Amino acid sequence: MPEKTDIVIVGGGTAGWMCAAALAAQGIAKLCRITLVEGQASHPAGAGYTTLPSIKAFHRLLGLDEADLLRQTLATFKLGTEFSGWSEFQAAYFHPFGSYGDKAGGLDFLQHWLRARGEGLAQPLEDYSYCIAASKRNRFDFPTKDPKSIASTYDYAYHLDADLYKECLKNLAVNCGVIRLQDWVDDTGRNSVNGNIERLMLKSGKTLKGDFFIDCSGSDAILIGESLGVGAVDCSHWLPCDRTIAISSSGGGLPPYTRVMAKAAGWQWKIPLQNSSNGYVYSSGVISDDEAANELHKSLDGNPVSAPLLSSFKSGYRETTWYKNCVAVGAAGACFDPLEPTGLYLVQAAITQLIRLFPGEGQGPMPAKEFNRHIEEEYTRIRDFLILHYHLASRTDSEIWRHCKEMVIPEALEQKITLFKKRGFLDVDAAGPFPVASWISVMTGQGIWPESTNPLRRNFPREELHKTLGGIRGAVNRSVENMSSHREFISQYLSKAAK
Amino acid sequence: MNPLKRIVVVGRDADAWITALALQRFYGRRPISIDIELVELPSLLRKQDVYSTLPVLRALHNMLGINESQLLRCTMGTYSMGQRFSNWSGQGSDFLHPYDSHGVEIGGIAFIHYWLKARKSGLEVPLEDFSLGAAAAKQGRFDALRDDKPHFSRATHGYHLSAVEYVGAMASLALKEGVAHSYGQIHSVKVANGNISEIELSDGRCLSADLFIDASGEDAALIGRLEESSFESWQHWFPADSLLVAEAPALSPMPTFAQIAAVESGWLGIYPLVKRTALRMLFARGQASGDSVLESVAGQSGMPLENLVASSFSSGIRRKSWCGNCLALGCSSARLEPLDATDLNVLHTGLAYFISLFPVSESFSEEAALFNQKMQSHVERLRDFSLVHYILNRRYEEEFWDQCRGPVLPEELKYRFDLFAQRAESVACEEEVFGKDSWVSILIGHGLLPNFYNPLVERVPEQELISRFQKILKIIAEEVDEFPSLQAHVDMMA
Repeated sequence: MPEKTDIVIVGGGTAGWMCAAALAAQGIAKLCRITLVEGQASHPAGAGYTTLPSIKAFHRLLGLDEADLLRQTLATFKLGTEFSGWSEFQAAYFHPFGSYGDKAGGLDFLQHWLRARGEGLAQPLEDYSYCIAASKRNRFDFPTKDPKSIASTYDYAYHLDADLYKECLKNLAVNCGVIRLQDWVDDTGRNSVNGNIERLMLKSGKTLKGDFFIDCSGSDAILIGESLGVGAVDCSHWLPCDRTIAISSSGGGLPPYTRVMAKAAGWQWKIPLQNSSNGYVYSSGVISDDEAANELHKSLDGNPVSAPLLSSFKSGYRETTWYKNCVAVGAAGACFDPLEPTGLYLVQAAITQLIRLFPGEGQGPMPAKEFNRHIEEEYTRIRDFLILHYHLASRTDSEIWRHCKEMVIPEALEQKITLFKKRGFLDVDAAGPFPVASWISVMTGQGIWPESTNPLRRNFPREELHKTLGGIRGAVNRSVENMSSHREFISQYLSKAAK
Repeated sequence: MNPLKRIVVVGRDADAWITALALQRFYGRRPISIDIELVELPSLLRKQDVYSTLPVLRALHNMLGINESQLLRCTMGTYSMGQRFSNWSGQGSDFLHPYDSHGVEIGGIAFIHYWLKARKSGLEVPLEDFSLGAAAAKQGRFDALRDDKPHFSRATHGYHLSAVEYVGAMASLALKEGVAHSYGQIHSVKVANGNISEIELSDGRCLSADLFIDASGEDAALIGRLEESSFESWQHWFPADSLLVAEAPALSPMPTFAQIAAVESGWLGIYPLVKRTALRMLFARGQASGDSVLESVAGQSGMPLENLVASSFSSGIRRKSWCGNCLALGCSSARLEPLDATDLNVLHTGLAYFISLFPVSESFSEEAALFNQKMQSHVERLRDFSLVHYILNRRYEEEFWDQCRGPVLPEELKYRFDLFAQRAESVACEEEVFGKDSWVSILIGHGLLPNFYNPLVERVPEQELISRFQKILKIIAEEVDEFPSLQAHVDMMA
């Protein structure tokens, strides 16, 4: 038997435990020894995670049952995000995990709807989204598989308690044979010939050898940055917020969606959990940390149940995410303004690619190259979608908003906005976390309404269009009526699962 | 209001008729009522011609509201489950590129990795045996599975279509839709500021339009007059400069694949049709005499040949297919060697992008820019796919073939080669017809065996792997038995 390969994960935050749990659950512990060095517990105390529907695929990879997840992490369901204060045209809009119209939906539906609006036949676009209708009435149910049903036109994700989620992953990983070290990395030892990391010198005095390292040390980037010297690509000129303050509070209701409120210095979040998670993401150039904390306190629905937790960040990503025998996952690899929940998504994407391109002895540079090519596509897609929010916001009440309106944005994004504005055309990658409906919701939500549409839609008879739109709206309303409230649904689901 | 009032299509054959049909159907009727006028240039179609097409052509037929079984009946069309490439690695070598996957993913890792591992431990079953589509092709069967139970794969089919009949069917549909049609020849094309201002025909008629569509094929009768559109030749990658077409009696039993055989200085394609067999040979004139080509075609096909006609051929792409008020669709926009059943694909893709970007105001430079961007990535990926056959050929000490292995690869293709050779991985791209399965199929088929595979395949114990493989082969054998045979189908139609 050859020696087992040593995989070393540095960092006991959520990213680290996600990696450990996934690799272990995939049976990789049969071939490799997986060790996780926890380091300083980067405590996301009182913080909540908000996720994207793709997280369900990650849980399937882990073999993590949904009911178990809900029980262990006190999770709630999520149908999308409500954005308020971003547009002068409307108080709030939804970014749903679902389409507008029926299953065929998408861009085609938008074009039909635009035509109908022009002819005075249409209600607001959001009225045709089953997902949004359910969100607005605080209802939840699982989507059906029958493509003919309006209840098949959406997907869902979760709100998770960050601490409990990490605990759940940790248990899973440790039970599957991951070795957990409560220790800190003091220094690294590198091979003098190929520059690979060979060992970690730990605070306890121990030395830990490894063949492959996963840097989950957060923005410190102990391995990829400090040891290997890989720089970061700065995106803060597009995404100017650089501070986060988070606090848990009682009350706040249990809507099946995340709330994101734009403010002069940035934006605030409310994540509905047992206690709600609140936060403020802002630019330190606009307000001080104290001012931000005060503002956040004032906005709480109930009483604070945790001390405020302050952290700083800078939007950007690693120039090379997999360099030599080290791959950076989580904030060590990329850190974006958390306006859209892309943090866990990127960890998941990195893990998926790491499994696909798992390093093997003597395999040359292609696995790393392909990993980097793929992950950079993910970074750019996410970067552009986040810039879209900031760039289109109609606020002018601070320097950051005025800057974002005027700034030069990436060319591909500019082209997308131009063609959408001109004619409601969207060229969206099939891959990545944000489908056509996401782009439609943010563009129209922030005031970009197409000036014209493809004349093609006029072939559809007017009466039939009227009838179809009415039919969809009727189906949405009827079907939402039959759903239980989000709160009821969770308790029913859990008690059913317990039997 | 329509910013465009009048579109003039100038061209011939499939490109012209399908374009006219689509535009008339979508934009020519009430209430949109844009004038769509087709000026038909003299046809270059020969009765020997064939279109060999990919499964994706169905989307075009759907878009045009065409009933496929009717279409097939009136165009002597047959189903194609893939293409068989023979003699590309020397005499006697062959493999099948099916329109289907191979095997199944195990533990999140693609099948190819397990196949490579098994091969290392002595497995001799070729990759294509794990493909239902390939098995069907070899048995002359085609996919017509009931949808009421889950199936092993998504085997699907393209078509072999007799060109004259196919274009005839499209033309009569277009006329039935009400396309204004006339015959004509171009006398002159007036250009002003990068736009076409007027076309004068030989009969003295002058045509103006808000948009001109060049569907004239290789002539590029309109777009060729616009300097900005410049044509890039691919001859250094594809040295064959002549195309020979011929026909032979129908094959029996009828295969459900096209045979693409490498010959001394080019390749020979054999395409089964209902009442005849179509043949095409691409070759380099400089390296083969007319006689030797004839002999080689006759010898290779082993069939009595009729109506052999040779003409020149060149492949390449127009840097900008949409320039000002002139849009090139089909062969005037890009031409590929018909090596991978890509006939009509450039037309289809161009038409689909054009319809989704149909002008909504008098200025459409943004639409044109995106159209050109999309077409270029799409066509270059088709080119790269076909280039694989040439670059990886293993016909040594034959001047033509030795030369084909030489050229510097396009960057993206070089990357795909390296990634596959070193790690058995392939890339999924946004604008691409051929998926990962197709890439794996031809790379392995041409003998590019990866040095490494994913080490995680070792998680699956050898015994388990063997029984999985056996199960796959068994399911394929059972399912392919349920597929109808093409010969029986044709006999029934007769």
